[in-house]
Amino acid sequence: MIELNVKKKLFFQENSMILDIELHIKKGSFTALYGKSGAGKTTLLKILAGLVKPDNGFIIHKGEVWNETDKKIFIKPQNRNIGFLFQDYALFPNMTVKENIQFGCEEKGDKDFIHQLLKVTLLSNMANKYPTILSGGQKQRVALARALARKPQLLLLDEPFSSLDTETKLNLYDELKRIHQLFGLTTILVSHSQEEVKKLCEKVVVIADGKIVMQGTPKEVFNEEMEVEGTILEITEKDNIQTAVIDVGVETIKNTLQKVHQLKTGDKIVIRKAADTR
Amino acid sequence: MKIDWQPLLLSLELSLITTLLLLVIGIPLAYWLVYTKLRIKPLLESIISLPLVLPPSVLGFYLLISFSPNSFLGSLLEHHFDLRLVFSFEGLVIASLIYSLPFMVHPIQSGLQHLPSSLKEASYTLGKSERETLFKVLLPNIGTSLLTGIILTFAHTMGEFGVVLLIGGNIPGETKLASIAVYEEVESMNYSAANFYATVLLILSVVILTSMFWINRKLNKRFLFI
Repeated sequence: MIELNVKKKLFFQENSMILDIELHIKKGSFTALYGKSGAGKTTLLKILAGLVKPDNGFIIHKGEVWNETDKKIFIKPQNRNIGFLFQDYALFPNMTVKENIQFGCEEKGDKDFIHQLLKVTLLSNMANKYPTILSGGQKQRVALARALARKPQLLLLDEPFSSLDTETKLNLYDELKRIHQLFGLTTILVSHSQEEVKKLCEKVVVIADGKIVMQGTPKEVFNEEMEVEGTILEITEKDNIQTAVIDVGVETIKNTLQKVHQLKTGDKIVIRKAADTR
Repeated sequence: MKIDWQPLLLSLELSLITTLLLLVIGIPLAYWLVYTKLRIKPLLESIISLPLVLPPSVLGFYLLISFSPNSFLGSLLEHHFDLRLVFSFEGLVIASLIYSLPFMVHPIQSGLQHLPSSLKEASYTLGKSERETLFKVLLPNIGTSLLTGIILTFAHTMGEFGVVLLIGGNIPGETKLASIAVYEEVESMNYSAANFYATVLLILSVVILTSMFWINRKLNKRFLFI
């Protein structure tokens, strides 16, 4: 359904990085873009939405070219028929819950659909409240209902659960899965939580430093016995046991060290990760 | 003592017209300044802010020179549009627009800058155009900034003196504003009349500013958590 091949130079405070991604997304799939912050996941999602322009490359959605830098084709986000969920919810404070959702509808008169959205997101009794007084979980449900109001085929989620407590998260996972199936959506989730990805997604794309380093099912990616190469960032010693913080590209992990190896900060090491049985 | 209300009414008229026109000019200008990536942005920003630091008489002097019928601009306006901008109410409006521009643009610009960019992006992904996003999403959420801009522009125009004196002079019913009237009455040792104009201007300023802070506090409560 989506063919994407984009390159973009990203600038940070101290350095820069090239985002270079080639990706295929199947219709109706639930895919995660997984990696630590600063890896380029959110930028990739915004490129897909048309909120950020790539330096070069192309995006084809269902045979329609959304972006092709060589031919100077760029379809605006307004014309891409997507639903986008922002990390900070981005609800409009000047509108009630219902007005927020209504704002997303193509036709104002679509009352039945708005009611259905309020119902599936369990917001019917909050329709006339303003977003400022809602809890985090409620805000995210309003944002989800609003994103669905345009009847999108593609739903893009930018770390939608990162600031919510565990119970709220678990409820929202189930809701989201149900909605994904109910509306026949193709969904892409940006996340840095393994738990989230395992609960929701059938495919994981692991991104580190702007490149795809691994992709597959959550089982293949997270549970497999594998070897990773990393750099020691920090060593702390307590009760004669050394603990090291190791940067393995996708994430940082903590590991105890054998003192006899006499490792120091900055050393490169190979860690064999045991099978995860969770 | 016979009181001439005309200078006060003229001041109110000028402030009202200036504020309305600046609202129409200020919103697109502030919006453009927030989102433009042009390199000349700092230059434009400093030109807009110039009236904040320039002595009003300096601004008035240059306007007088450039609007004078002997100048290129002055003669062009007079011959083609039958418009004389020196010593006329129209000239005062133009001068006030320039003089009060930063008081309208700055609050709106700062309000837009402080809105999370995700609000604009969310509206775009919901299929709304730039214009619809500006009027239905961005502007309604910077109510306090708009109000600050409106009130400051109005109050600042009411208090204009140096620019007005240079370019408008002191023609009753045309360019004699309340602030000029205070000056003129003092010059002719007419202290009670000067006191009347001064008191009205003082009370008006206090009322305007108090209502601004009061309304802003009300609005802030509603939009505290975005």
